[in-house]
Amino acid sequence: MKDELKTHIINYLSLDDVNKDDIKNDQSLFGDGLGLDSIDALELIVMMEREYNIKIADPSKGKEILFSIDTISTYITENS
Amino acid sequence: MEIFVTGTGVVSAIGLNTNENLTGLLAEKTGIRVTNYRGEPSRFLGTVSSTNQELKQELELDFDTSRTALLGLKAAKEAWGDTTSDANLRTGVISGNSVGGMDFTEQFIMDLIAQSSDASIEALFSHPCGFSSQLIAKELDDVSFCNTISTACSSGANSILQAVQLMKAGKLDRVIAGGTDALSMFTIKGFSSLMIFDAEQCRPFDANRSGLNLGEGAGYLLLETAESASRSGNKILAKISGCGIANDSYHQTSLSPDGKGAVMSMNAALENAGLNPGDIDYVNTHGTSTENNDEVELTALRTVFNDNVPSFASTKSFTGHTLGASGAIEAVYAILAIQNDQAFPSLNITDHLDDSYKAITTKEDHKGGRPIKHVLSNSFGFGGNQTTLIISEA
Amino acid sequence: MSKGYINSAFSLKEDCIFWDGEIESMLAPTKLPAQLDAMYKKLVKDYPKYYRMDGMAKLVFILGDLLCERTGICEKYAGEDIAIALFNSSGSYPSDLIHSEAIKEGFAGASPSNFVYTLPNVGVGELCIKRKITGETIFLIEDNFSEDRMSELAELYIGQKKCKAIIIGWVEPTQSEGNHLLLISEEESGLALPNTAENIKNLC
Repeated sequence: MKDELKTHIINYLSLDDVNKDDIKNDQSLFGDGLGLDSIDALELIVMMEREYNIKIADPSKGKEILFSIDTISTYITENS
Repeated sequence: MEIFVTGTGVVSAIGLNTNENLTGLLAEKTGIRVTNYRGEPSRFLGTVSSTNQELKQELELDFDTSRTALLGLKAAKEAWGDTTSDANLRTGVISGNSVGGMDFTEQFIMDLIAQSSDASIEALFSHPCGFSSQLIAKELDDVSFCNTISTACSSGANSILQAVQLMKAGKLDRVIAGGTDALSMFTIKGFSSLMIFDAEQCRPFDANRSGLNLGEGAGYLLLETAESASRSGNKILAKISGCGIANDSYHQTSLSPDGKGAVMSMNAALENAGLNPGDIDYVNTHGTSTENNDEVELTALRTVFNDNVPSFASTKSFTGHTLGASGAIEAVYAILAIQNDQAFPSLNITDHLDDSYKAITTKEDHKGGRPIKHVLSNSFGFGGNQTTLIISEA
Repeated sequence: MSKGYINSAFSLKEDCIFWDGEIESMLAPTKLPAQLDAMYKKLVKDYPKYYRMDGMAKLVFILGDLLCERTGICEKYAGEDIAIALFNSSGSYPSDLIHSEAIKEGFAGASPSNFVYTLPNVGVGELCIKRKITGETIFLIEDNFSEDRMSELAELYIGQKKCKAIIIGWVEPTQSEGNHLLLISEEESGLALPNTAENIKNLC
């Protein structure tokens, strides 16, 4: 799942210069990690709904859930 | 050279003309209601209480067209009033909007899909952003210059700014300047994807605010040089004493935490007007009610006014966020504040964002009831556009 | 009132890159978006947010960034002394189209990142973020390219001391016949051509 997640993230966020191997599972996706910003966070919320049928209604909760590949995959597993 | 305002026109959720808007502002009652827009889930919106057919009839048009154009033409005509044609005066129309005739295009597509006989390809003529400006130019007299500005939520304010610049440069003598925007699915779904709506009625500068309510409307000023006003005989209502504009250069949609762009535009406007911060009696903020805007704008106000912030409020709590029209509608409200010595409040605040710097929540809150001679009005757009107008009694 | 001087001109026409009126290089004869991506990879690089921009923002960003790089304008003047005024006829058409298609799916279809770019001035904002330009920025809609309008506006800005330099041009992503950016400043440097409609027309 984590592999698939990375593929989705790269596609949805148009991270054309990033490879799956560049994204570590526990790395912070935002700020200094992968450098994602608030617009990317919203885009990932769309991804979660489209690809995993999971709605994140509160963007501020989204920050915790979308922190890293690990936290996202845990959330998907718990909410599927 | 001084630039005078000799006409105002406005249509919004709180009124179909300047007087109705003034009544609405004085009554301190919002025009934002739970509304269902074209089958979308109901949400709080600031809609204008006139149908397209009613507007079309009132404006004596013999064709259907986009609501953006109809609202714009109504407000522009009000601002123009009975001003007469004068071949010796160079007249311009400068207008801003964000979404053009999208509402009409959407209707056309729905009609087409339904195979309705109402579907007409001519509907697409009103689609471009420039259409509403050109319609206004065509319907008024002697217009020799027409331009459209598209800088998101600062479009209306930037149209006024451009008009002032062109007049001061001696290129134009009088200008209908402002902005218009109607609601559309394009806009509503787009802002929905940004998760930027408040599910409840918006509350700018409230500690628990959680987003904006969209609105629609139009606002225009008739701007004239002294010579033009003397020739037209129009009564002078106010003057644009200063304009400032800067780019925040921080993020596509969020404001920089220290509000540097907003500080720059406000300081530039004050310098342009030859005024000190202490001369400002009232601030009509951009005040969208988003977490980011209101916090940053208050930070910027504190910086510019050295913590001695004048009465401030957001009239978007009355009208909703009218996007490309907002800066122009709020310029009209600034003039009404001056004419009536009234500082219009922010509605719906329960807990203030900052108890040491409270937005005014009723007109009685206005500091010491001091006369309103100078109003500062902010408009901030996506893409880092920060614009400030200072409107003063003439 | 000072009219200003044209310091440099950058044009992208079909598959040719023109600097200061002369052909400098050729691009592969592909569509404009692919050409811009190729220019980014070769000439700009190292700006990850480039890829999420829409066609309009990419056009403004690439042309603007290369013009700034070539002329060193951001080193010569403070950010607040540089203005940007761009014209086109279709606004933000590439992302408008994508957004219109996406919203047919309902909320889950709309891309927030794409929606942000359905405002033509956001591309200008991108250039400002990268190059720390904080002066007046404006986006105007006109039916056609007008050298008169451009020259007048630049003259207004320079003459009224709204800025010391202005990046001005026509950026229309729905066509590849001609996208142009010019640097006009108070300094008689670079090309040092007087800011006139005729000179702008000849360079474009």
